[in-house]
Amino acid sequence: MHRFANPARFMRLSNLFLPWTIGLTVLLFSLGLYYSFFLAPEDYQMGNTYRIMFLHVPAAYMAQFGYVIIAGASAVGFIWKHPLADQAARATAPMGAAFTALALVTGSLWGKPMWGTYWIWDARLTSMLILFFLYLGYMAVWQTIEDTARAARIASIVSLVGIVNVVIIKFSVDWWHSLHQPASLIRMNGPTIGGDMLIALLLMIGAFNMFFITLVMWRIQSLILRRRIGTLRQQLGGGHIS
Amino acid sequence: MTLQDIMTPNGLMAHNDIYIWASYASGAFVLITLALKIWRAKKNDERILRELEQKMRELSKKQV
Repeated sequence: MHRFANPARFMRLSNLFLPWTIGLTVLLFSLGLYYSFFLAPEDYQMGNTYRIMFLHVPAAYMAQFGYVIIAGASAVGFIWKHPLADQAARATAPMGAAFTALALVTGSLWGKPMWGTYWIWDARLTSMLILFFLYLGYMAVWQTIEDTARAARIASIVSLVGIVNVVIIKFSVDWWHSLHQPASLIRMNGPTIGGDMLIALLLMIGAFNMFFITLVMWRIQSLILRRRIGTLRQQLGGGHIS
Repeated sequence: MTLQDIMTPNGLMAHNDIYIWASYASGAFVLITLALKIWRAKKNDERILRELEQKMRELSKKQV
């Protein structure tokens, strides 16, 4: 871990990995969309509307995964003061927020034909909305506090407190009565969906993961470059090049 | 299912089509916008850094 915490080494390694993650993103999205629309059969209850699942479920997974990454990286940054940990956490937040927004939008669009409403103050939906606000709050801390060290400390606390909400999201459908269906992929007795539907879903989750990794690497590279820019500007006496 | 099944009136487009296509359109919009925004920001940072490094080199040459 210490090896990757070196910004120069990260830049070198990420430049090596990026062509592969971009290629895999394109490949997995192409295969995933082909399976989602052409090979996965129609659902006997929901008809074709269930195909929203191939977008909604990966977005919801990534929304939660992103927050777990932020909390993990924040904990590492908070406890061990790794130079890249806070940057990794900060870099992940916009992606997490975008995936949460996408999960909420696609969920609403799936809810209307299935439940007859775009929104209901149900435990799963409400906790996802809270996750979205947590992402916004986390990003607002970085935006509003100028002192980077202080911003990192406060943002870490926000993310670590907010991790409770991820647990609530996961178990909300078990703990409370919900219109939302229970877990169908990650469960003790194995997935409740199979065949081409499962392949399509796994391909799309893989595509979202690769997309996420690519974007996080770009963002971390960007944040490292900005630190260098800041240092050079100071050396040049505060002169600005735009 | 073939592409023709999607496009025919009795295919995918016929039933709840607006919700399915709105979902995928919003997905494409969010993912493409996000990727472009982050990629452009990185390219811009690279450009600024190159310019500053060039300026530093010129400054150190002058000092020598």
